[in-house]
Amino acid sequence: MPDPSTPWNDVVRRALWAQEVRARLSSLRLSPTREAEIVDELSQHLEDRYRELVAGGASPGDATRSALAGFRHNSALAEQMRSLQQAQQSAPVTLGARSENLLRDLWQDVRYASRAFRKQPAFAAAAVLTLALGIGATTAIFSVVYGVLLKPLPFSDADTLVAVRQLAPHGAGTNQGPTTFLTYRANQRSFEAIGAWDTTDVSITGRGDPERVQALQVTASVLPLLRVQPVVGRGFDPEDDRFGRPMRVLLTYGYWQRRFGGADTVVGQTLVISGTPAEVIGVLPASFKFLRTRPEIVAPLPLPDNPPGGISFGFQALARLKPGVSLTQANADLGRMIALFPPYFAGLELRPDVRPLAADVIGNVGDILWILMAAVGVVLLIACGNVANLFLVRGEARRQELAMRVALGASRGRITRALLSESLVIALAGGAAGIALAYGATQLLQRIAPAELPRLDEIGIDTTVLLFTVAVSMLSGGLFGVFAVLRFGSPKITTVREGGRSASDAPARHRTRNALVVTQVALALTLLIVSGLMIRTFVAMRQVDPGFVRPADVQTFVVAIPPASIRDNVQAARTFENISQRLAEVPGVDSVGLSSSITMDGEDNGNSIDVEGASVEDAQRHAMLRFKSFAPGYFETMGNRLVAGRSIRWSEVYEQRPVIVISAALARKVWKDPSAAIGKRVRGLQPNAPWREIVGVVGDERDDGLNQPPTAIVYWPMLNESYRWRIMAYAVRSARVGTPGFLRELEQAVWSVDRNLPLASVQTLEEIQARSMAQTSFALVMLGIAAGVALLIGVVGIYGVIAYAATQRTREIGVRMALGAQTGDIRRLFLRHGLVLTACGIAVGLGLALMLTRVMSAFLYGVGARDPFTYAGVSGALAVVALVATYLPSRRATRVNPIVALRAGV
Amino acid sequence: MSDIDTRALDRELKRGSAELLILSLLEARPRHGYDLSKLIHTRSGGQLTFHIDSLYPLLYRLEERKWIAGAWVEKPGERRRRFYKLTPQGKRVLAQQRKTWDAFVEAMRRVTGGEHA
Repeated sequence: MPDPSTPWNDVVRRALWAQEVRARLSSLRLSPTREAEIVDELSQHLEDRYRELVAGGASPGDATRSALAGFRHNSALAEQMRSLQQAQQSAPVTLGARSENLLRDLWQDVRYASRAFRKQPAFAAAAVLTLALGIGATTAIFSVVYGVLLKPLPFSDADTLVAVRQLAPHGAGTNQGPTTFLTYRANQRSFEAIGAWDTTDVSITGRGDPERVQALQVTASVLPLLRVQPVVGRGFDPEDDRFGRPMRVLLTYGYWQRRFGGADTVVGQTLVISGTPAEVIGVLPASFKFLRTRPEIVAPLPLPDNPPGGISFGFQALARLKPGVSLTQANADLGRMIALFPPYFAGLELRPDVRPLAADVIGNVGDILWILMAAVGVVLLIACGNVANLFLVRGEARRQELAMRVALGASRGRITRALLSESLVIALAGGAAGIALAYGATQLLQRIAPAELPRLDEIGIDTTVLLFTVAVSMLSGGLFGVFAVLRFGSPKITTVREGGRSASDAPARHRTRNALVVTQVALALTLLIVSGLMIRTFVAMRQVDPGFVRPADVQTFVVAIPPASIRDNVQAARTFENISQRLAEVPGVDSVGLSSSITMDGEDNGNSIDVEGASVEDAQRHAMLRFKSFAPGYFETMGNRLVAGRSIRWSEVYEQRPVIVISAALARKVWKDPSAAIGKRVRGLQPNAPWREIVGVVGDERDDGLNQPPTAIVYWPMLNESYRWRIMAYAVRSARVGTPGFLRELEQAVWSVDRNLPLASVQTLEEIQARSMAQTSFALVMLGIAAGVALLIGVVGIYGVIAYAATQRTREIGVRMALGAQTGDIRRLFLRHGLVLTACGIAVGLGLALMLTRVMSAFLYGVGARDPFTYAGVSGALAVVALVATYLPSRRATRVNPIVALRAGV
Repeated sequence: MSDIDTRALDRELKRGSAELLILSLLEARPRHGYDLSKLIHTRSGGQLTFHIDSLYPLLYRLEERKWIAGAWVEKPGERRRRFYKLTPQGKRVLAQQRKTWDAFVEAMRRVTGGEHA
């Protein structure tokens, strides 16, 4: 309240003088004390002049204008003072110093607003914090979206790089094999160059402990087409990728630093890679990053000169489009070449699939990221809604001041700009705090490192992200500022006369605020429903039988026996069996299993098989099956039950008996009933492959993830003609898994057979399972956080509106209570208000959520996108929370003492 | 004519002897800014008007040169005002400037008076 001895108008006028003077000083670097002195002195001058003019009969408006005419123009004061020493203080107010007037005026408004907020720290803190949550979340997710989806791959002209694949029926895709790749390389017209690549784990021996590292295998054309130059030495010769050439390797920068201390002398040295000596010919730049791989060395991918015949798909291909060639043209070119494949490819019904390399890296994580982006956008909108509400409340209290400014000659534009500047100051402060939050979030994300998220190391707060944040902050500021401008941008001068006491409950005033709350509730409900559906998906996935039991008790690791160390396949199989036996002898081990791939470990090798007596149409139905090579003990160790028949014995492995095991999914697919498959015969596609009898059908493995249908799998005995594999995964079941020393004992057991075999991919089955649920968990956690924040802000919004309405209606409540209304009546009045708002919000939110179902259904499992249980449950929960948020302020409203309320006349 | 500092003359001509005006008005007693601007206006018969954005920078400049000194004075029932008074150094400068000015006026009189004589 103003001092009663000083008329209110005097206070406002003095504030105006001070503002006018301050505005003219803002471009100088005055110390705050000095500036305050000058403002004081010049304000006094203006006031003296004003009083003199009024005493002489001038109207207050004329007097104000005449007094201000004592200034020549806006910048004269600063110009005159600039050469003074006091104008060169260290106070760093430089923005706008030499700019256009508009910018400088804006800066003045901003400074004025900042000063105002310093006097209302609670209001400013509430608004800034709310926005910081919204902007922080948006920035964090944008930094992920940008790093993962939008940032070009780290190669020059990355937009002309493509992945070359084929599509098979039923949405399956295939990579390349020697036949397909060599056909493309010889016949293509669309690409500057085409290359093949693969990753494999290799053992490097001869330099200290044996080391298992990832090797990137590439044809000679790959590095040149990526335009990657070695920093030391040279790249591959065109001939280096032909069969029979001596092996040469390039080192990645990290490996070079780690193992060779960055010595230039590395070129020409020899590494023993999986038993084969290889000459080091160069080192790749530190910036070299290849898609989702993390190789230590880069080796040639050896290819035959001519297509070898037979169907196999085992590596990837990439190419660079010729200038001017579109994806459509490249796909047409590929389609032409698919027709050139040998006739036995026809059954696969391949179609071309050339797509941007970036899309290939991102995989299916793109959709979920956009959904998250939308979710945090919604959180930001809700936050803006709340801040808009705060500003509306604050605006009510300032109607008097704004009207006074208009009365004193401020234009509508000036008022609008002042209001928007205030929004902007809060928005930018919120943005700054949001960046801090987002930085923390990205750091956390790097630490958690969700397996499903590619390009993780490219996520961070960089210039683009900062620009995005500034833009989002300003947009938010504009958004919630607009409400204040619409409401208060054109104050009526009559408000001054009313003395700030306006009608206490003008409906128009509440309409905006009510609409904001309804929107907030609706958006929050939508997010809550989406995360509710994700929770149900997560629960459903947990209940799926994955094809194993008690995964925490299963330790897995990979052992590779390179042909260079043991050439003979039977001998290699005996070594694997010896290791199995030694592992089984480790105390506490219940059983040991051996397979080319553990459930869900990401190995997706596969091919097609012939089924005896099947027609060509039938054969197409079992194109692209998953192949695994296994040894006795695997199903028992995993806890996968036999549905029909039996497993195999070691004797059958060594005698290479024509037996085979298939998964129940495959059995159902071909023979409808698993037991009907027993005794039927199948064989590999290569010429002269013998028919093998199906002796067992095992339970389904969810090899492609818990939310995918069971995979159709062919289990080949370890020694076979179609799917030979020298890299085997061990599964060891024991209650001791995870206890100290256990792993070391397993390692010793392996090394007691062969000291040169490193253990790779050491992980428990539980970790593998967790990784396969990573995308769902990630989405669940992120959406959950978004929904939680949305709910919190939304509820605060409801609370705020009811609480404000209660204070505005104190006098009305007083009257009602004086006329005999009971506490309950008053409480019901507010509860009804809150419930009507909540109900409207829920209705709109349900509609929004229903519209989203199509987008969402791809991410759901075991629950419909319109699951009534989730919709009803979430709506109910939200209604209860909203009821509480309404009840608290309404209870306070009934504590009004009617006498006090009426006397205060608030 | 030898005692006229031609550079000083030049400067004074450009500046319209504003400094001299301020120093002269402060010679008798300390005054505040509004008082100074009013005095200049009335005593010049409305011919000379100082804008706020010229007057105060000039006061601050003179203060930085230590020719005048400002001090806040509070009177009961009024807001504080800043009064300026002449320093000893300011008095010396004023004497010097008066001499320069007189010499200038004398020179002008001789030249212009000669024409009309």
